Amino acid sequence: MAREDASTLENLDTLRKKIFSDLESATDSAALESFRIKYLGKKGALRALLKGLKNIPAERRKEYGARANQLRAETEQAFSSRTRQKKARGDQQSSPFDPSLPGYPFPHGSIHPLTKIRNEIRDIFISMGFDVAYGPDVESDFYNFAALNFPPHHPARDMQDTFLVSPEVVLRTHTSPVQIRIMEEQQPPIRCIMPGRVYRHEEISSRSYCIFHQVEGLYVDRDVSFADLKGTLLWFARRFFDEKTHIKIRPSFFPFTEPSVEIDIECFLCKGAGCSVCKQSGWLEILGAGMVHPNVLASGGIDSEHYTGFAFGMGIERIALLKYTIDDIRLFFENDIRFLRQF
Amino acid sequence: MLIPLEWLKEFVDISVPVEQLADAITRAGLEVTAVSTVHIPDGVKVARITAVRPHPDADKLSLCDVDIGAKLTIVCGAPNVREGMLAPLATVGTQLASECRVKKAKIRGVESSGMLCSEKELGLSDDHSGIMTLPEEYAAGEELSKYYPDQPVIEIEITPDRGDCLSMLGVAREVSAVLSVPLKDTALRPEESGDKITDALKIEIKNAPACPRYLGRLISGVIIGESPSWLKHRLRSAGLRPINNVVDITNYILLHFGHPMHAFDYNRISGKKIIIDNARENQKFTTLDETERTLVADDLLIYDGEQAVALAGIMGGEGSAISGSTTDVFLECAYFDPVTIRKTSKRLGLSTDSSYRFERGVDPDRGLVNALDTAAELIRRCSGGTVATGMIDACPSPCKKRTVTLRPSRVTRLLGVEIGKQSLIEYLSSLGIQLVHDHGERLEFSIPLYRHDISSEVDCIEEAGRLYGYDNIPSADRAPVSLSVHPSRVEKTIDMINSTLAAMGFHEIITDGMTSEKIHAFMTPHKEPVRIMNPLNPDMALLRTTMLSGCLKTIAYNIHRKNSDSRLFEVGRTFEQKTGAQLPEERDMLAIILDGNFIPGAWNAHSLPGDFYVVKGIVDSLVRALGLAAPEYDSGASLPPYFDTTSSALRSTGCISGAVGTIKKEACALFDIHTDIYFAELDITGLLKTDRTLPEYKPLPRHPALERDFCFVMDESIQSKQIVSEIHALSPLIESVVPFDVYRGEKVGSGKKSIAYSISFRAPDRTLAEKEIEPLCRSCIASLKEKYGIELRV
Ligand SMILES: [Zn+2]
Repeated sequence: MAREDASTLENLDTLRKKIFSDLESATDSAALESFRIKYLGKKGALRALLKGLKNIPAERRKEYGARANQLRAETEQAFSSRTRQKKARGDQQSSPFDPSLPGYPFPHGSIHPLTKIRNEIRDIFISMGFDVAYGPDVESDFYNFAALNFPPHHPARDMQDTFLVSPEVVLRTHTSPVQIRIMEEQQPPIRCIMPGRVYRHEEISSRSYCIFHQVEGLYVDRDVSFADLKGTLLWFARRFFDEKTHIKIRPSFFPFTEPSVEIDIECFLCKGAGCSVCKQSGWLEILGAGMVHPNVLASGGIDSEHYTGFAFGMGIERIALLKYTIDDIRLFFENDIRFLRQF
Repeated sequence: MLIPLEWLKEFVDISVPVEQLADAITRAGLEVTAVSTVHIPDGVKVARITAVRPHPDADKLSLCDVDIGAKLTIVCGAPNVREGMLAPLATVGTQLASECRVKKAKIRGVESSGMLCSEKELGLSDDHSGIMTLPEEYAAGEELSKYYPDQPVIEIEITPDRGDCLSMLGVAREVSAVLSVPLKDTALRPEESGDKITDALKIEIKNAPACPRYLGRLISGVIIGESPSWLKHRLRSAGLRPINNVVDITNYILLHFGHPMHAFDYNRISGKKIIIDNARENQKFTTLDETERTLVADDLLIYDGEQAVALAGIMGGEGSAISGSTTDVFLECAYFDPVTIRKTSKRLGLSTDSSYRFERGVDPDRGLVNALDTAAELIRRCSGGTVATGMIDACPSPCKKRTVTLRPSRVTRLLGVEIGKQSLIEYLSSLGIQLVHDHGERLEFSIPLYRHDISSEVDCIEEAGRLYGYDNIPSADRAPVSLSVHPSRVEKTIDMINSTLAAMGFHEIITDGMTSEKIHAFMTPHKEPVRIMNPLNPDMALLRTTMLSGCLKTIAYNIHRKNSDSRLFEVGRTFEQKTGAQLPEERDMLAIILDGNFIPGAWNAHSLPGDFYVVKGIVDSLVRALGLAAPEYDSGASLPPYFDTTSSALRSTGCISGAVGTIKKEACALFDIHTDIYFAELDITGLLKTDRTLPEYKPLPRHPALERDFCFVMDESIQSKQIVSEIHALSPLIESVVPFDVYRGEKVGSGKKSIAYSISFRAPDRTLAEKEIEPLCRSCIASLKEKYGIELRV
């Protein structure tokens, strides 16, 4: 057994170098075992070091001791990692290394596909200078319907099957009530998107679910026109779907906008040629929009002679189903890990 | 609504192909959802049934001898076959719409040379109650398609504001405006004879606001029977089943003009009086569907001299209905207030073709008269009666036409395109909206009474805009950026939570947020939940008061599908009803749940199974990633009842609070989970409202630290953090105190544990000498011994 003279700190450095070069050249298990005895064993060099502390002058002893301890820890760690590596690569030097064995399974998670789509939509609007706002899931009839120009006994209320908490309180059926809440808080200009969860009293099937998520948008300022609505939503469609996509606008009806329209985009799967997803039409319905109704501006305390605005809304689930070509909406809420892992 | 093209053509000349028509009206606002063609396949013949005999081997089947020129025997199961009738026969080889080819087949031992068809089998309607009866004027042996030429049918979805489009006339008005073709008048005027109707019946309207106008005509001497084939054909093509000539005509008028009517048996109207009045509270009335209904005082009824005879605008009663023996018919054609009808229809859960239209508003003006006159004349023609002279027109509160002022400059401002005053006037007039005054910059228009949806300037702008074509409005190519917008910190914080947890191996989940009374009673009995009055099912009867229910449901779902090692998180809201508040309190929550391993084992690596310290470690790392101080844990604080004893409350910087730990077995069992579940639930409402603080930079240490390891033996009741803070308090030179080993066993004795700490000492301004820390180490040992009876283990 070699007896290094390790009475000085420089010698400690020499020993360190020697240890690591010995470990490097210990390529089989026999060599590793003799390394262990030589340095880490009961009579090994590192133990000897610590035992020799008493010979060190008192003023240097503490520092020397700390360094020696550190070296021992370092050696132990390097030795065990070397042993593990050996085990993995095979015992004999001659056995070939197998890189095809799997890497150790560090956990990897995922972000829900609905969150991903939501955030993609959000980021596009944020880049156009829109802010993000929120409102409660449980809403009063006033914010969910009355303030949005749904008269109390109008058939328009049948458009959205509603969960009731009390005759005056509902689970919001759309994110539009947040429009009113924002207008109450802030005078124009208002440029805002309002993402959130909405509830509809619908039986659960592959096509519909009793909750889903919307992104609502609102832009109110002087002289906001239908041309602005078209421009903004066309640009959104081109950023989100395809930079060459086209949109088609159909008149529709929502009590809170006038005029109200539905916006179809050219099917991004078949480029408008017709496929099963777009039911051979070449178009996909993705957005409802319109010019904010003067009664809604009034509900929000905004003078409709001075200001005009547009609003829009889209369903995140619908867009996610289309974009990922998923055929069953329930997959989003079952949260099967094998499904989630794909996103 | 189904619009047969041939019917529509009665009102407007259409020269464009049906697809082009569909596209044009969709772009103008009536969404065409389908265009289909009713096509009777070749091989379906008009057959005369000459004899019906029982099947020798089957009670429910019969053998029919039929004549189609040739004589054949057909096995038939329909209940309505009878000798002498005409019925459609699909001969052998016919390809039916249902994708089956008719073959010669033996049915229970008897050969059948074809199939007698129901309307459904021919694709004419959904009626499958028996074989179809063909009119006598059809010739046996002819192809049925000779009488049923191919007919395109357009299916239109009509938005709730466009009640005026719920008829052929209404759709035709749109087509006329869109294609710029004139609208034809199809109304008939009755040939009147005999007594005046005013002598036959008196009308009294007691609630004028609910019934602003009531019209009636009397047709006497009718013979109730089958409708002529053109009429039956029309009804079928629009999806209705023929019943008898009088009822069919009222249905026809409903589809043709959009106006609901009601036919009474005149002889069963007692006192020859009709009174329109409200119901009494709790009054009972049995409607035609044989259901007794309990009414309230807001409901509107039609009474005769003795009793109620109809629920106004919704459904008639049994007693006065048209029957086979009816000879005199009183036709009612009224305008009822939409809100009155809707309230009653909603409350009773009784929606009819009639109430559907009244709710949306019908035409109280010329339309009403046209509908009644045409119906009376058709009944006269089809059932042989005479129309009494004159009509009842009780119009106590005539509806007045609205006028709307439109500013062309406003059109330009709202649509972003200049349409031009003259074009505006033309677009609107094509829809029957007439210019009454031109004040230059202000145009005054008169709105037809059937357009209940137009009441303001912006409504007229929409009408002009949709006819101009939204696709013709240019898209703006620039958008202003508001400098007052501040990017949302909520979004940034949630993004950080999502990405950190995903990177640590957790999958984000989204659950429905609803739960059951049973689960609530176990999990959060101390909270008042939000209960849904009309839940889909008892498992979704209330909104969650804890994130745990959805998380456990998801874990159970995955266990059931043999997905092991579930590491999941959800960001969502919980709801709690607070006394005195209309809306519940909504809290933003983060839940982290772990089932099985945090790090799974592998061929040469150990697994790291989940436990309290794994979840705690995750929470600590996340909180640090959010730029907050490490949370403080307080096992003494009260926890939600679903956590077991190996759990702890936590709190960080006043903006996150919550708990981490193990879920009670009983809670897991509610979801049929029988493994250990580790869970953290954090309230992040405060965090989302908090601005992120700048990280506080501290210069890196310039002098080395000294480290010492100590192993202390202590009572189990002592918590590590007590030791750590005790040691820290000794001197500012103590930089860190980190436990690195815990031992329990013989060597320390029962009720005791030993914890090894690595203590690091450092001075900011100098290299510490051993002699400086030695007294610190001694006083550390001494004070732990004195305060907690802790011994140094050697
Ligand atoms: Zn397609």
